[in-house]
Amino acid sequence: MIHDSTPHRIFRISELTSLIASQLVLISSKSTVNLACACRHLEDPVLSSLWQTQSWLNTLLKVLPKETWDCDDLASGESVVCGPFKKLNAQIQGYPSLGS
Amino acid sequence: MREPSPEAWNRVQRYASWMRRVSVGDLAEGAFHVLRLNSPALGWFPALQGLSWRITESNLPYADLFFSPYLEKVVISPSPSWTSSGVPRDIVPVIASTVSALPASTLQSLWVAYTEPWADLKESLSSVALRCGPSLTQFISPIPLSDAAMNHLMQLPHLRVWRLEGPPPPCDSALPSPPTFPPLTEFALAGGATRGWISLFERLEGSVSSTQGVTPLSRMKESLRHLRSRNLGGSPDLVINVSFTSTVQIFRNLVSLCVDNYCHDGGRCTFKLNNDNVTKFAMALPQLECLFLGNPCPGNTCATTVACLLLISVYCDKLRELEIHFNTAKIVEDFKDISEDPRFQKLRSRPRCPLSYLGIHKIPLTVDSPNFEVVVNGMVNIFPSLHHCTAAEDNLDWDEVSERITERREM
Repeated sequence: MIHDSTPHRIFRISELTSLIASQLVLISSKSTVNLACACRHLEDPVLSSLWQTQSWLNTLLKVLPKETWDCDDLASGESVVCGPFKKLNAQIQGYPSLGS
Repeated sequence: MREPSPEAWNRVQRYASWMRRVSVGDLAEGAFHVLRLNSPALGWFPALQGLSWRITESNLPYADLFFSPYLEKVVISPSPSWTSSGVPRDIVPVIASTVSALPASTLQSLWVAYTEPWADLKESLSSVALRCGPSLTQFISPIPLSDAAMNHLMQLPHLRVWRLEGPPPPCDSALPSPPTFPPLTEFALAGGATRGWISLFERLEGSVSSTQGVTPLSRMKESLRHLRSRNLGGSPDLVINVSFTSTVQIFRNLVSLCVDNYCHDGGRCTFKLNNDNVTKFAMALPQLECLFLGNPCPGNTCATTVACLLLISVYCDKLRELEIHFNTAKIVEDFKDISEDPRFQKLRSRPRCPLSYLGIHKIPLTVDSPNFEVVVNGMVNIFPSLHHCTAAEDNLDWDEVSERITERREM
């Protein structure tokens, strides 16, 4: 839950908040998430730092609402089956493939 | 289950726009296509700077989704499923054309992690190399490049690390001046290309440009710290002789020189130095920390003896890792010489290097049981920090020596 309160004006300096976030993310992702949730003004710069490096793409796909995707194989950390993708798959016959 | 709303896709876009580095592997079938269908006007990753791309059949047609114009660091590797079976032939042209489209103008580092040379990608990777600009600092690829691409890379002022496959481009007499090498810190050669490059260095060092005293190697010979030649298959193209070691000494600040030259069983030994040559070499490069002069072979035909180990230990006083051929036919007598011969008197009192690894590999050792201690004492005397000698699996006598050294250190 993001609190909508007036932050100290120092936190309106985006360069500063980005710098704080970029250092914090090196120490603890969880603390970085907590910071992003602490104040609406901090959300974008902090999330931006948190999202700069992503090991795999499925993390991004999970930003979609949960009811739009299924997760078949989280253990591998790679293969995510998304509901709409599954559905689209059935509809798309001619999408580019190496065989065609 | 429902499909994502436009707002949901906007949210994905917002998060994607923050991404600077991503690893791309496999996704569920069709997922990449859906990403393309919903791609924003500026692409999903407009500010992506780092891309680790593991090429698979499913992501290959969509690789351009990740080709941001701001890419600085790119790592390309093949799908693990191709490791044993090889890349299907019908996919190779698709990989080649896709790699050709890789943005390169802002690249700082390109690392192609194929384990074997792959000549089919030569032209496409060369086209990428030709589009690299002055920002490039690292180019690592086992795929051969065209002569034009190699000449281009040689001219890039900030290139520091270059690992490549293949011989140097031929010297073109039409060129107004020979190529000037950037101040590389690491230069690694593979695939039997070393001899050609060493010859080039010899020629370039001998050619003086219009500016007095400045040669095409002026910057590189000061900057180079790591020089490596890797030749794991086929016949070694490189003979470790006086000429080779003289040329290497051009690079006076080397801290590691690694020649992975394998002499085949029954084949001709490529190590042609004697103790005097090794002495001169060690004295010329006293800052060496790692010295691999070819994989020691079972031939026992070389002219060096354990005395060369003492010379190296004294003159390269920072050395930590060593592989060198030495003859063991009279190893017990050789150790006695070291401790008794007046020629070694001054050296005996000098500090030794902190060497902990000595690669023995297939060097034979045939000594009587009582003489094992002579060998152990001799090795520990030369290398007081030695942890163990690494011998080939079937080299049991050296295993025995190594075990005794380890036991002694643990006492």
